Amino acid sequence: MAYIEFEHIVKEYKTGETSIRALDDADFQVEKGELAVILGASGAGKTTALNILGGMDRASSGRLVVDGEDITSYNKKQLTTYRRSSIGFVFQFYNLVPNLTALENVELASQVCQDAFDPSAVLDKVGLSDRKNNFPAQLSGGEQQRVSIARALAKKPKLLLCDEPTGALDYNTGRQILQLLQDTCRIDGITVIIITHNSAIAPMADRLIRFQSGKVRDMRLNPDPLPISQIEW
Amino acid sequence: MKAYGKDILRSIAKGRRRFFAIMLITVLGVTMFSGLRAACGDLRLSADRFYDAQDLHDIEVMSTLGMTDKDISALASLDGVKDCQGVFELDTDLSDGKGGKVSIAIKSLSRSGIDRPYLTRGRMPKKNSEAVVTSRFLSDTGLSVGDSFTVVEKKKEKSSSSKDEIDLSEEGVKLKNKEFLITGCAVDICSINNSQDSMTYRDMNTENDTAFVWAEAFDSSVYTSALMTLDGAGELFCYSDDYKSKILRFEDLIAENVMEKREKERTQEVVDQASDKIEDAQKKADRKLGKAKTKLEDAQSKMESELKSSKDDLDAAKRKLDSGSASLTKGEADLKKAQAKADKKFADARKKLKKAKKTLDKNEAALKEGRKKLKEGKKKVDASQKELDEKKKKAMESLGGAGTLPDAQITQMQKKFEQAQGQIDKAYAQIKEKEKKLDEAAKKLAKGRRQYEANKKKVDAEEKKARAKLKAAKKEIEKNRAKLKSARAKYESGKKEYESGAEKGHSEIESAWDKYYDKEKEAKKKIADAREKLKDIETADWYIQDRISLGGYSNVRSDADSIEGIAAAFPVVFFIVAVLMSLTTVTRLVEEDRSLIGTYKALGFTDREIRRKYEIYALLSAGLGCLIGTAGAFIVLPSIIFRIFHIMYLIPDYYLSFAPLYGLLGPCLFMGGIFLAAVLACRGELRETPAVLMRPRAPKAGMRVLLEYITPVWRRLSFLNKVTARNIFRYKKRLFMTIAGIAGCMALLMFGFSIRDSVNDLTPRQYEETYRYDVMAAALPDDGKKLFSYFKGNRDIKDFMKLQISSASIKGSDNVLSIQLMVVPDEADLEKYIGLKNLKGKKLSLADGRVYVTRNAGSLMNFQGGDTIKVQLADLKLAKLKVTDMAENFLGNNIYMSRSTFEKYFEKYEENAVLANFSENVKDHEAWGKALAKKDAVQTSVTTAELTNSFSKSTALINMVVYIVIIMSACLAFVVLFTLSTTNISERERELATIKVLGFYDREVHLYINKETLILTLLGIVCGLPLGAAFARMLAVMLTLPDIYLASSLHPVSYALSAGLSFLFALLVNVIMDRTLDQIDPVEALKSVE
Ligand SMILES: Nc1ncnc2c1ncn2[C@@H]1O[C@H](COP(=O)(O)OP(=O)(O)O)[C@@H](O)[C@H]1O
Ligand SMILES: [Mg+2]
Repeated sequence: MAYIEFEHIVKEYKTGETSIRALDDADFQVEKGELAVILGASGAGKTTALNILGGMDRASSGRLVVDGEDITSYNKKQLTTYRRSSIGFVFQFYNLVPNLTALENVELASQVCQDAFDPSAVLDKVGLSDRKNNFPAQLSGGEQQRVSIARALAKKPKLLLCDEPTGALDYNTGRQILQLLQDTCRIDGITVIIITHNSAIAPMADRLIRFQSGKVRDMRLNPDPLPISQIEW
Repeated sequence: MKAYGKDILRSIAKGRRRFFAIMLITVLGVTMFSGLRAACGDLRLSADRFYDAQDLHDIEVMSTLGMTDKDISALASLDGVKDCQGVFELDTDLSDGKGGKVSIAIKSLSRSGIDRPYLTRGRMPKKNSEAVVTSRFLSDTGLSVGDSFTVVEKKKEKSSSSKDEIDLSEEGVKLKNKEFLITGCAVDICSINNSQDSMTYRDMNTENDTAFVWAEAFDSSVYTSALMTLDGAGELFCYSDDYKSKILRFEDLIAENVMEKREKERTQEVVDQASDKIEDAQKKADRKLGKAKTKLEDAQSKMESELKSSKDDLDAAKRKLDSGSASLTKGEADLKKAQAKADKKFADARKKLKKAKKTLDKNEAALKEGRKKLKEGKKKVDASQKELDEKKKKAMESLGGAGTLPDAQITQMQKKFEQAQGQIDKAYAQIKEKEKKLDEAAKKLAKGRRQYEANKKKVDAEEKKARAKLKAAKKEIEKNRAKLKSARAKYESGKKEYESGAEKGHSEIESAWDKYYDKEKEAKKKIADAREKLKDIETADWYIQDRISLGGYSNVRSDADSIEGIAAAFPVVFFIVAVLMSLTTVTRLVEEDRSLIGTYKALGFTDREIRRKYEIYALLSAGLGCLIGTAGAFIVLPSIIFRIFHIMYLIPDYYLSFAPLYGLLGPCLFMGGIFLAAVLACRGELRETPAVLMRPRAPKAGMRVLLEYITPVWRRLSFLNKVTARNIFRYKKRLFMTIAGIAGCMALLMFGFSIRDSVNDLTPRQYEETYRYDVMAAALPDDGKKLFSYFKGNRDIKDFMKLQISSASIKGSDNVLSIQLMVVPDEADLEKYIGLKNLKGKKLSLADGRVYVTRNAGSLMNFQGGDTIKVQLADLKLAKLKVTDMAENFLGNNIYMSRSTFEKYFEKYEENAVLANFSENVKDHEAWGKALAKKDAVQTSVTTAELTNSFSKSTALINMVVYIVIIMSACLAFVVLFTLSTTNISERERELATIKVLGFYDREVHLYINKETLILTLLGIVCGLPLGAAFARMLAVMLTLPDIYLASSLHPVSYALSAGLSFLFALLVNVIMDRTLDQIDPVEALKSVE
């Protein structure tokens, strides 16, 4: 059994009489320590899948097992605890708490879980040793995304989920962030799932999952993923 | 533009909460803005309509000498008079059916309907023997409709009209018949205060026990007063300045055109009448005196003649008695003489007898002697014989024996013997003769004795006869004497009787004469006095009064004014807070639509078109709020307050009215404010280019707060507390809004509580600190002594003080204030009973010439210590007093002065009341006071205990206002917190979603936000406390009631309550917000920016 079992998940949005299936029997697996990339057009259901994976949303039907735990059976509180201890999120728009410094944003995450990394060390690791006491508004987009990654990593998550982490960043910065994520996976052994609509970065993944209209159209393993430095687009 | 309209509708639908928040704020604001004021307006309007419906007089003219038909027609002839009627009023007492008495007033009903009482039950009287009465009349007397009552005319109250003076005043108001059937219950339009249970403190003296009978039931030609209504006055609102000036103008007109002339004429009339009366009185007195004199003279002469005849009788009796006495004396003398004669005669006879007896006895003795001598002689002779014999014998013997003797010797011896024998024989013969002679004498003697005895017998018989005769005569005399004696006694008693009778008669006559002379003198004095009095006969002084003198009218005005005073403060605060809140809300609304605005802009909509959406949104929510608020202000709130008015006033119907000024001003202000907020909020966004707008707004920069520089403190804060601290200061607008909003609500709450506290503090301030006495009692006129007797030596009374209490009024230029005048004896220790202090808390003493007036009178009538005021007593006497200082007082109004001061300004000082303190004996003060009130001569008796009690019952209106204030403020506090929290959460939705994603539990998320709200609320409370205290301090200035000085106070408990309530609302809002927080879906929240 795989580390992550995404089994026949259906997510249905009911709007009045019509209902939209954001996920329609989506099915995939990810192994522990893998870097998975989810590809798909806009509206294909990637974010929906990630949200369910991250315990932010519930599937209408289907089963999600992470590290042997059946997440779909969790109640709200359990889901929160699951998010709190097992999941790190990285968003396209960073979603830092603007009123907290970089360090504090990381602390905010480490506060809520028992076995956390030292926030300062994590920031050092993402290369922000000098900007620890800056507020988000004083940081560039890439730096903010680094803080955001640091905040996600500080919790020692089982799973790092990144929804278009480079979507709001320029090319180079985006590459740096992707590098950071790849390093995180390789060095820290954290399972990382990255959503992107940019198929060019697919080679960096251990596993490539393609979404189309709520379905997993294709899931492929990449026997030798390339480091970001070798990928150009 | 169809799609655009849909967008607006959808925005409203989506932002329901916000829409309703704006609406609710507007509702509260508009309601508070005009509600209390509207209720006041409605009260005035209802009173005005009631007055108009019952044709309440506009002007009342009274005169010290009453009003006559001539006065009435003079007044009626003035231009602009609609109706002018003379009316009667008679004050009297009725039994309350429980041993006490009730003073009532009987007023006349005018056929024209002026001052028509408002019938609540039964029917109006048809006959002159029927009456309608006030409900208080019924409750005080225990009667009910259908019962009858009998009027006992009160003795004239004027003490001067005693018997020894000619009453120059005209006959008082009288009723034709004394018994009346109660046909109905009605409201006296002149007195619409419902003093039955509440508000007793303010009109303790007002007469509410009134019965109305038709004017024809009165038997009098002089009216108590003239009532007038003016043309066009009814159409005016009677609390308006127009009305006031119209009335004042007309009062001037009366004063100029009628008053002086009629006063003079009327005075002359009365003087003429009085001199006629004196003339009459003199004639009557003369006639009476003359009659008395002749009667007296007749009586005297009759008595004299009677006395004389009885004297004659006595004299005759005396004469007869004297003659009887004389004859008795003579008889006695005769008797004596006769007795003497008889005595003498018999004495002589006895003397003779005695003499004879003596002679007899002498003879007998002589005889006896003779016999004895004879016997002796015989014996001697015998002896001599014997001796001789012996001698012879012897001699013989001697012879014979001796025989020898010479014979010579024998013859000698014989011869001798013979010789001796011869002698003896001769002696014998002599004796024999003598014996014979003696026997002869004895014979003679016996004959004499026999004769004597016969004589004696004769004398004895004669004497006995004479003596018997004398005795009879004496007896006769005795009888006569007794007769005479009784006659004399009879005479003496007759004489005595006569004498006493004469004396009595004389003294009687004398005293009758004295009396007569006294009477004559008295009559003369009376006439002279009357003539004297004629000179200073009271001139007719007119008093022109308008509705201000009516308790009900003034109370409505002052109640309305006082509520408006409170109401004035609220809308300002409310308005400020409400506009702030709606500004926040609208701004947030616009901000949330930032990218949308950018889109519209990009689509080519003009600024104005884009703005319109928000303008319409704001105006729609505010407009709806204004609509509901207006309904609240002009319908709901007044209707609530009417319930209190119903208790306070006897106005039957309350009318809702719309005051265009406030009714439109409030909504306009609110709509304007909110509209402006929308415009301002839009302007900020619309300034930006579409490109900027369509990108998410840069989140508010984080920043270091001051606290961070205080490292020791900062370091000690937990991480989340640091976050909270930063957040609080990051949203400066919210910080300010919350603090301002909560502080404002706190201030309003505290203001409300302050009213309550101040009212609660009134009674101890008034009845413990100021009125220190336990009971105050006033006597009926001239009954002071009797009242004092209840207190003197009573063990229930620790100490008491006599004084004079009169009702008076202070006359201002356009208003009148009823006030109680307390005149204290010069030497009295007032401090035991009343604590007099000036406004600075300095003790005041009532030295000569000092006049103190309680502060509230000063603020109502607009004068201060040092000013001169016009004071009029109940008997209409007027004086100008210089007020020395204002005295601190809270309930009611008093003027204090000493006796000498009073006498300087007015006339006679007469103690008629008592202030007293109870001893420990009295447990139930109230009962004691009530018991005293039932006693004879007691007019009123009030205990401070009772006043305290009744006051606490009488604060309904104030309490109602307090509740309204508190509830509204509480609502506002709630709305403020709600709005700000909603805005806060909406602004920080992403942040909250983020921490949710990070795995914060719901509880942690709640705490994250609630902590901020609570801290801000606390800050608001801290700022609100001084603000509220300042607000409360303004209370006394804002709230001016006629008889109450509301010294503002705010108890610690009220601070706590205000703070507690605010905090409670914060907690409550947090609970509601928690649900909002739970509903934040991080998926949705984080998606939206895409
Ligand atoms: N809350 C929602 N209500 C209705 N439809 C939704 C909702 N969220 C997502 N969808 C639909 O689900 C589909 C998948 O969306 P998403 O997972 O966000 O796509 P993407 O692959 O671009 O991340 C879309 O077609 C969208 O219309
Ligand atoms: Mg997506």
